[in-house]
Amino acid sequence: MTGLRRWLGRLSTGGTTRAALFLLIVLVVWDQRQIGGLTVRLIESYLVLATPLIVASIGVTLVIITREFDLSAAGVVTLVNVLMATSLQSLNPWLMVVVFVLLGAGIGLVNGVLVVYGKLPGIAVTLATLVIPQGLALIRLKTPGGIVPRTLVDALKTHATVPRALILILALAAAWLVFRRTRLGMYMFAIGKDEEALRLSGVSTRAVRISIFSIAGALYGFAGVLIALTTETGDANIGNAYLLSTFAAVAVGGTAFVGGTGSAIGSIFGALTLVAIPKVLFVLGISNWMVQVVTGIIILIAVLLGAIAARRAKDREMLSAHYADVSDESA
Amino acid sequence: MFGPLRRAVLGDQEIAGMVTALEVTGLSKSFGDARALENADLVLRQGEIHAIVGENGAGKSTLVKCLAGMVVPDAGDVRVRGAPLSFGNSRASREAGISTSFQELSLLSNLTVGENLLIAELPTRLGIVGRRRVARRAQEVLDEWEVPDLDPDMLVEDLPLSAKQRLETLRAMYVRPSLLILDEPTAALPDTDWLFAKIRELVHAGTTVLYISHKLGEIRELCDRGTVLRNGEVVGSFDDSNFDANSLISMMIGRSIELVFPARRHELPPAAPTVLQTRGMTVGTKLRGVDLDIREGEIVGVAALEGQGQRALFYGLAGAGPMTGGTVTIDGRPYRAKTPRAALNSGRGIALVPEERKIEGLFADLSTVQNITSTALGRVTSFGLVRGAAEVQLAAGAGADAQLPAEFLAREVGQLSGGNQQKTVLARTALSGARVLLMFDPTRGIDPSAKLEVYNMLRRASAEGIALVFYSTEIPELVGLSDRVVVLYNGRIAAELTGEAIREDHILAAAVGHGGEIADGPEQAK
Repeated sequence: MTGLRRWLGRLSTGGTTRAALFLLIVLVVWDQRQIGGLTVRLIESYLVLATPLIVASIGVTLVIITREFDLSAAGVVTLVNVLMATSLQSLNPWLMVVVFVLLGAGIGLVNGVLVVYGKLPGIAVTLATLVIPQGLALIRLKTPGGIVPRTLVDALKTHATVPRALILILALAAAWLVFRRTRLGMYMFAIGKDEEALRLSGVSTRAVRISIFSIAGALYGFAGVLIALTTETGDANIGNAYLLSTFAAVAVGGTAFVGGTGSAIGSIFGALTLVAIPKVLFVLGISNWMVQVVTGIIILIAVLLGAIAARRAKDREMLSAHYADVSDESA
Repeated sequence: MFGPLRRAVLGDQEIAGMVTALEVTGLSKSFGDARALENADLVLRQGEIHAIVGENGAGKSTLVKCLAGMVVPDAGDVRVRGAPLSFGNSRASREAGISTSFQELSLLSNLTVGENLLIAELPTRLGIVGRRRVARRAQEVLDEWEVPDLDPDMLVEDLPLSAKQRLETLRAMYVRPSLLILDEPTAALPDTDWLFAKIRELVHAGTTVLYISHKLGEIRELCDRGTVLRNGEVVGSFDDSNFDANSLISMMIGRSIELVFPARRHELPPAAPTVLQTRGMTVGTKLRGVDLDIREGEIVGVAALEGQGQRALFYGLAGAGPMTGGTVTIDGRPYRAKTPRAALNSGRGIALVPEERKIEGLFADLSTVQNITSTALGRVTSFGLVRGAAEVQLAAGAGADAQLPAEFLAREVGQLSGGNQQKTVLARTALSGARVLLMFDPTRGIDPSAKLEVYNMLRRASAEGIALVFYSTEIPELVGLSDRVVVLYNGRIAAELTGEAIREDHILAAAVGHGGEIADGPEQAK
């Protein structure tokens, strides 16, 4: 009974729930105005298109939960995208994926080590690891082109009863639900709330922070692979849009930029919402030039609702915590 | 007082003092220019409860953090049962059998009680930390250690301070360490029976305890020996046989003072007008209809066990918390504050000095000057710009009134000791021109000489006609300072004591719910 009530309470205040509602509204509008409604094919291609942003924004979410900043997503995504189309072509395609995910993890590791041991601000370090890979990508591939392994493209895009992209998204959501209950996941939340307290509790917070940066980097690497698969080409400018849209997806997804709270599932909803906006504007007959304006308004609404919920939660906390007497609460 | 019992348990070797649980030699640590520890030596015998006393800033917490592996000392050597301890490694400290309860509480507010308790060794299955597994294990610990009032599934942010403190100490104790370090474990604990009983059980089983506290009464009751720190140096030691509170205090502060309460300077005029009046003040079920009349220049002490509505009263009056019923008037005018700022501005103002100053009261990153003037910036602002020189002058004046040494004015408040932070809050309050000053446990966790200065400050404020209401967990303070003591019990006023009736036993009796008997005959209250 109390479990149900707690669950309902979480639903009414949770950022993830709000993000799900945003997505639902957007999809309903799309379905209503799309001639012939939303078909399976349409949904399938939409999900495929959304996978890179989903994966990259999950990485950003992890870093933000630890109360850090990571701009490198766009850089890693670009570099991997270009390398996918131009390099290691003789390798087994699946091994290729592993190599590029590890490359992303390596860049994340560099971020983490510089931030934690170099005691440098994350925003500055990752500004460098944003720009450097982008520069390398441009050197490697000056004009869009290259060939992306067919096996992998088919693995993602082949029509199936249950869309492959949906399976991937569900797997990511499931992985998140498991990860946040691992030690590393729990320490990630704890660090974002109060790193010093966790350190005093006898946990190596450095290892946790570096691990989170590395996992985020691996996710950016994987996102770069997915971009190559969705666009079937390499493009050294592809990442530009990702710099802002990853953070936008996190914000719409209801993860507050204060650390200690957040949800990757919210970011999945946020990314899906952002990817759907141009489609919805199109079916509504609104100019494509309005996409950014509408996206900005949705971000503002999401952040505003999040702030209202946070304020309400704080009021409740004042009532309960300040005046709570444990003995009569538990009696 | 506990010695003979234990000596019966331990072997001959221990009696001869051959076994050293901890040996600290020449430990030094500086933070920038500030010297925290200077060539400190300390030897703990196996199975003793050893006190460390000293003012705030004497180096106690630095010593604790060096032992816990949180701070790397500049020089020195630590041996735990003969084996050298490697510094700056909390895991190494833990593996050497050291377990620490920190003064500033190292709990994670967004995790549950159970998760906090087991944080360093969260139980996993296939890599997943199962909620039920954590709750079950934590419940076992809570049952074993007789803590029925904590629920493993409760979020730590929902706990009152006293419960957090208990959880912090329990987390250090339940692993049954060979060396237990408790840094101010009773600062927020209303009663010490549970803690002391558990410490003694551990000692029986062979644990050695390093006990850091300001409360000399506790140390006399609990500890076998002790060491006095001053300015980072060991300046003396004591044991059961030569325990003397006054000489300890003079050792701690380096000069001799008696810990006495400053006498009132002026008698309270019988016709002093009422400043603050409440009628039927109610806050949910926490405060149920409280009538108070506080007169100009009067000092009213509030006594209560933890959670009897005192917080609701103070925060409600100051506009920092809700009020669900009743009326409040200041100088006869109705008053209702929704925010602390409104409370300061309405009428002639109510100012609250909250507990947990580090979190609630001050801006740790701003300078002391900026903190003092933050509520009175209007006075030093021209055309929307703050005039720096005028701001410093204003702060210096108020700081001097609060006995805050001028050299601290330019520093960040976060770097100041607890006592000096307290003075900063007081200086700010004085500047705000408040009519009513509410102080919630103003001396919690500060050292004796800082306490004395707070007492003097209270007296000065009252001499200036400010109506003062203060809550304290230390009953002797209430007795020594108050013109009147109001005892809260279960959200209501259980007793109101004046003059000769203000006695520790009366206050305690009313606080545990035997207030009615006092009115008839104080002697029966026992």
